[in-house]
Amino acid sequence: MLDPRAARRFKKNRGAVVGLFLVILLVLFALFAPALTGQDPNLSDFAHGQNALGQPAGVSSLHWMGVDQLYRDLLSRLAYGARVSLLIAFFATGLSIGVGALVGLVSGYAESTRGQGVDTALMRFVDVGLSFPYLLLVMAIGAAVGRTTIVTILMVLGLTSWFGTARIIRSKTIQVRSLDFIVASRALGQSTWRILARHILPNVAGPLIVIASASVAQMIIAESVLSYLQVGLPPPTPSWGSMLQEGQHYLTIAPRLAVAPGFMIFLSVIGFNLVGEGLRDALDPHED
Amino acid sequence: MRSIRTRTERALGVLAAVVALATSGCSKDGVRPPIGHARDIPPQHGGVLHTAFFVDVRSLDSATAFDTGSAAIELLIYDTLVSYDQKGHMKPLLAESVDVSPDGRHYTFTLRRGVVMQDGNELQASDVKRSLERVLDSGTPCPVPSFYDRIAGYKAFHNGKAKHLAGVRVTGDYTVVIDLAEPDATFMQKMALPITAPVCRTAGRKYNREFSPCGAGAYKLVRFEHGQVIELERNQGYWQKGKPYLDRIVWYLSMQSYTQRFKFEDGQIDYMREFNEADSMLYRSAKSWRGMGAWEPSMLTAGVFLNCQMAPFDNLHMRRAVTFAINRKQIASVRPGHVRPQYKVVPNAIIPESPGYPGQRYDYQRALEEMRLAGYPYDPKTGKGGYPHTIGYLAVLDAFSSQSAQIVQQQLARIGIHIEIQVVGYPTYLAKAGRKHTVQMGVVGWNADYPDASDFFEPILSTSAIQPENSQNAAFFSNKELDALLVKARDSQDQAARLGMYRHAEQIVADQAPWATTHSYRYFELWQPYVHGYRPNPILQQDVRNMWFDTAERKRALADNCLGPIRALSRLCRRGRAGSTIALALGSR
Repeated sequence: MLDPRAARRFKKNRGAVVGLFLVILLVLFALFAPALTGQDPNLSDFAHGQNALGQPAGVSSLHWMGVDQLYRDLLSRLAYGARVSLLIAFFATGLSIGVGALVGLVSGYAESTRGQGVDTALMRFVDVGLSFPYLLLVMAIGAAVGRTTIVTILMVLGLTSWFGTARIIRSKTIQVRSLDFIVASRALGQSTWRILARHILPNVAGPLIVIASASVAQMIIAESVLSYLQVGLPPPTPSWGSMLQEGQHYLTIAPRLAVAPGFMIFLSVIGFNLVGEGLRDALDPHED
Repeated sequence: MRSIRTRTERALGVLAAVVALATSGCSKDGVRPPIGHARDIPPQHGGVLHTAFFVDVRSLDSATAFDTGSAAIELLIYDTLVSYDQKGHMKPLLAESVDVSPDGRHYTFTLRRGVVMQDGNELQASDVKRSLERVLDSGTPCPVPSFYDRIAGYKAFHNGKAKHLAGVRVTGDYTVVIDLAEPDATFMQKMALPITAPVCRTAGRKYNREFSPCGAGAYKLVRFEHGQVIELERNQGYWQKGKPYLDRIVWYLSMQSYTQRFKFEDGQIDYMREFNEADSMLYRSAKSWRGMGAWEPSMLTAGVFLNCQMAPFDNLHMRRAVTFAINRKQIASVRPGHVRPQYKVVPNAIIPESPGYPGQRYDYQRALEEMRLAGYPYDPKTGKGGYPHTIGYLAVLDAFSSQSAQIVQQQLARIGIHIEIQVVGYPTYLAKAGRKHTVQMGVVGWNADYPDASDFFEPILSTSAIQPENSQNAAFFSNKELDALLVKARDSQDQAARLGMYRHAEQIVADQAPWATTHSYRYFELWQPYVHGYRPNPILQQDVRNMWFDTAERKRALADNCLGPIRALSRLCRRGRAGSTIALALGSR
């Protein structure tokens, strides 16, 4: 995906490499940790879950990170929570980037042409979307949807976060559209959709990749916030946000219940942000 | 170079100072020790009680306020004709005596003389009648007028056809007789509710939203800011000479439990009830707090309602399968101490459980057998069979409701019933659970309005409690035998016979399974050693009317507490270089 020079620049960036390492670790954790622990994340272990004081049991050979307040394996829930978070974050980002890119391309290409009306309508809609506080909008829609599933959450997140992307891609499209090779393509009679797909899209891919990597981090936070406020996925689905919410009541006797999911959110957000920054620097030709 | 070193030393010093300050008050128990000691001294006047609620208080007008939060404050502002003593027995309060006719239909209340209301007027029998009429007037949004529907003339008055409530007669300045159309074994308990308390003449004859709470209670309302604070001051003209003891009471509202806990540790809250699970465990296991605090008796029954008008719970065997599949001890184990298994509808604080008493028990094999009888056999070895559809389960947005739902979900999966939990806010829960043909099952709970078994059957399990909307009977359970039994039990004046009837009612509920009872919840209450005169009342929640402070001990202990961090610092200061660094840091500005 990256040309060799950009890849070289990315490799030289220590922060980006650390970020990539964190992201890979996270993905591996989500994929393999459940198999390693062999514990059902939704099943309470009433036989071994309590310590002598009646508190959720700590680290043991059976539960490597102890159990949560319902005596379920904490490590297993963290791993399944990673799956949920990453799944939602990746798909919501895909949806957001897809819609944002499409709107941005169409709007940018239509600007100052006969299709100016399309550009105006789309950009005013984007203005309206940007004027809403993002998380408030997500929470309101989440609450209105009522019955929440992974699909509804990622749809809500994806369909409410593309406005900024559309704005950036529109600007980039206006820039690229006026270049000679686009004028030549038009003169050769290529269709608008073909020009957009074959010539403009590849030229705006760099910013899209950067936006996407930063957006994954944003989606992880948004999903965690929804779950923390109990308008996310219904119980018992493990989610870092809901684990943090439930764990905070046990901060004084079992801090790991809140610290562990909080740390996972922190690591994943910092990982994706570092990768995003690394990509931005790597794809910037001025870096050479 | 020198300046850099000095800066580093200062930074280290500040860090050490912060650590010293942060750790100075901690103990090995994980909680700070009590503030001061309990001295054996006679009751004293003075002091300001600071305490808090997690919830807000909606209203303090006794005619309309009926939520848990307002009840404790109402006890302070309004005295009732009758109340409960520390053992939970009924006692006259504003009434000097109460005579009940042998047929249980006429109650004569003789009032104490010289009781001055908070507006300066003397309490008279006409105030009792006026206050009752104000509550039961059709224009008053009283949440429970039906509690008093057996008073003679209630219907005509409540419907606006009569000007006065005929069943309440003023027979002298200090005597009021209440006539019932039919006997009601729970009438005295209902007269102990703040809703019937005499209110000042400033309240008028009709309900008015602008009424400033005013009664014959021990404390006067000074300030009420929704979501913030309620402040009360001592009623100087209180009829019980020498009481109350405290000068003021400051009751914070909408305060998170962990905020309450840290304020309690600092002495900014003197008495606390709403510990979260972790903090409650810490205090109960802390050596320095050993023997202090007390459990408040639980008057709540929680469970799972099963909608008898909706599939699959229109099938009796499916309902029974659920009641047998729920392991109540497992639910209770999640919050040891606070949550206890509950096997019957009426809490043990009202009718104690005894061997052989009807109730619902965990029996896995019976649950599987009931699934077979219901037509949905389930094989636990292969996991095949069971009810083929996912059932919606309504839970409320509070921590334990959601937690118990998740345990029930695991337990029902073991008999082939799969539920999907939907967590909603309380208003949504009430709307959905109370609407006909809407929710198949969900969490349910009932807290006693007054300590009688009837309050646990009539409002929630009788046919009369079924409504198309806002039905209190969320199970939409209708059983003629139970209905007849409840009416008979309410009419009866024979307590032993009534107990027998409620035992029978429990049997019907256990057999017909409209509810699967799961647990009861009780609070752990704690107060600083300088707080005296308080023990949880078995009936009245947070009755702090007799509380008093050892103000001298409080002052001394709090001063000591403030000096703690400084002493910790001075100890560190005496340790050579670290000391000079800290001294440097502290002296740097």
